[in-house]
Amino acid sequence: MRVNTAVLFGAREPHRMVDVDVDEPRAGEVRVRMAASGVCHSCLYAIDGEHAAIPMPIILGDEGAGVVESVGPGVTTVAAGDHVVVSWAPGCGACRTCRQGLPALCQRQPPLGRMADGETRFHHAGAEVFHYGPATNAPFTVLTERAVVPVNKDMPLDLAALIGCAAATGVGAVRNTARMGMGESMAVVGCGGVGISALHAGALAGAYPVVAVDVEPTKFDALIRMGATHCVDAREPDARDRIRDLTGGGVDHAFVTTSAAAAFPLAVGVLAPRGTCVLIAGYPDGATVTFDPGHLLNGERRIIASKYGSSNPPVDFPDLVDLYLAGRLDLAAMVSKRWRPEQMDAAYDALRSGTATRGLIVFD
Amino acid sequence: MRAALVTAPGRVTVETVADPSPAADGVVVQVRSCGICGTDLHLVDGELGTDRFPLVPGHEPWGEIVAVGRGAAGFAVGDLVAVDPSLHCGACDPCRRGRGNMCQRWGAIGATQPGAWAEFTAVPVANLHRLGDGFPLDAVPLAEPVACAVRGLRRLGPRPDEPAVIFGAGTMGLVLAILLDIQGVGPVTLVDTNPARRELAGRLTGAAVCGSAEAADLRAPWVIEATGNPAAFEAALACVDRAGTLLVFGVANPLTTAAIPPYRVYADELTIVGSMAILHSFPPAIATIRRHADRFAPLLTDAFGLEDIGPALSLVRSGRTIKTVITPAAGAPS
Repeated sequence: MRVNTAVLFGAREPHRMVDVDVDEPRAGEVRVRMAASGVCHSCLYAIDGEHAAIPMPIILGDEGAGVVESVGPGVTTVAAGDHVVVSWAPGCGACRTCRQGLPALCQRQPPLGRMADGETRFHHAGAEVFHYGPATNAPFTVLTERAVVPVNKDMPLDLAALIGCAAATGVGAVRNTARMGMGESMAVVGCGGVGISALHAGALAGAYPVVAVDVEPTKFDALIRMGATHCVDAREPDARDRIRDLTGGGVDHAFVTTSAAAAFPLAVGVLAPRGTCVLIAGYPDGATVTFDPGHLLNGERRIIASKYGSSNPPVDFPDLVDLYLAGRLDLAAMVSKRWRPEQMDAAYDALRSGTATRGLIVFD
Repeated sequence: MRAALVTAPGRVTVETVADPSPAADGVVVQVRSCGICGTDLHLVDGELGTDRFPLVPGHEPWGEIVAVGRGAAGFAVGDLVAVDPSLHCGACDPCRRGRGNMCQRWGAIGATQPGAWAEFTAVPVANLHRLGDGFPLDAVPLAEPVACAVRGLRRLGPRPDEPAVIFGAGTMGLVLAILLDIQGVGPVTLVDTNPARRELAGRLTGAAVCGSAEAADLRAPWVIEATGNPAAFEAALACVDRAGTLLVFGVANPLTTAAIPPYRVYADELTIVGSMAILHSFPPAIATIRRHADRFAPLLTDAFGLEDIGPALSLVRSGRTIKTVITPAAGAPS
């Protein structure tokens, strides 16, 4: 089939709306008609040229939801017409980490921009167009069967898009990685889609206090509605002391959702003895972070990482859908703006500015 | 001061006794309220031994500091505090491993030392938890039970969004149900033989409720025994799903036994854990009460002045109450 869609032909260039041929799904693959795609920070690395290895031209988008349009031979877990949330971490399904239920840590990732067989399913004027992960910014995308998780049809498909990355990552970091306990304190440094999901999950886990840390105080009222009990402006010179005071001397868990230079040192700096800094953010190529090793040692503070919220999508996505349907995960409040596919550059500009929580690209 | 004193099994009188004075590293708290707990009934009846009598029971106090010992830093007269009653020696092997609830010389305010069914009680500084400005005081009397339940749930280690079953809709069953819900664990089902308690439990916790006959069909990965009854233990174990965990929280008579099918423990990889009192769980309990006071406060169903300790104990024995507290300051001459 041929669709008109936004394609990125090079870093630091605007998207171009062009015609793209989308292949039929091959064995073990599905083709999905996208309903919505989340505007995620990871795509900025391609747009801003911060990962040199990303091939061009490319279709972006790593969180989305839609309806299965057709399936290839041998597909058993989904059928045409199923509502699905897209996972950007299908994994190979066969390596050690995949079998442990951690597909985001798969040790046999397909070549960057291509399907596992080394080819693309998108072409423009006969030439390859690459996939940025699941490439959810196209109106139709081809995915391995393991990259789609069927969900309850009561779930609104536009909000379901957020489950595929922001919610899975933020909620998973709190539940799966940190395994936060009741009455433990937490801080979330960087309150976009992932950070808000972590605030929600902290509130659901019974954490107290739940401190939201951001550089955009205009978001603070909304963050209180989304689970935070206190907000701190990270740009204030005494931000670290304020967070420590709020949490009786230090936080048990500090989540870093942004690669902004000040975020990681702040998160480690506010930890209580035996507290844990959970690194969630992706960083540009070559980035380094700093921390005070004495502070780490003297309090046995810890730094751990959470990729995709240590999620196992077939298990965790339906849980997140149930949480939404039970009224306990306010995905709607997370959406700052809905965009048309042809407004893609404006959507990513808004994300880069830091004022947006989560944008959604909505298809017809 | 006036204090309720157990002088012999089942015999509780309110008498005038000497005012306590603070230890060098302790304070005296004027008791605003102190709960009556199921364990207190065992204690009053002499089931836990009679050598400790005469004793002032009461291990769930909170109140205001009225005297401070010479070496008691960090607290001042007028501070409002909740009290962790646990007395750990700090010197034995379990204490040195951070397992103070297994202390070889374990004691507790209101169990082995004079407690808080009294106008005043002496407390070491190490057992005080300050209630900051604006603390929701209406739920503070549940600090000690919540701290026990937090310890229990740490032992259980439940995962969110998975079902749980609790046997026993007493105070602890209800506190555990609320805490599981606060952690996102659920749906939670409370099992109790008493229809009146089921009705109240459902209303106060939002959990599903059922009788013991219907419980035979329940299966859950997270099951809690909170009655102390061996028949309930066996029913609870039968409810544990494959690879699931049973928390033994209720205080059984030390002489009773219950049957365990070893094949099920093997074939279904069952885990059975116990939980005894409080361990490092008072601070998170205080944080949880601060956050969710509106959910805990309704569990405080009855309050009696100190002189009415007799009717208060009768009410607790009847089971027609969730949490009954003694409020010594209310009836005291000022």
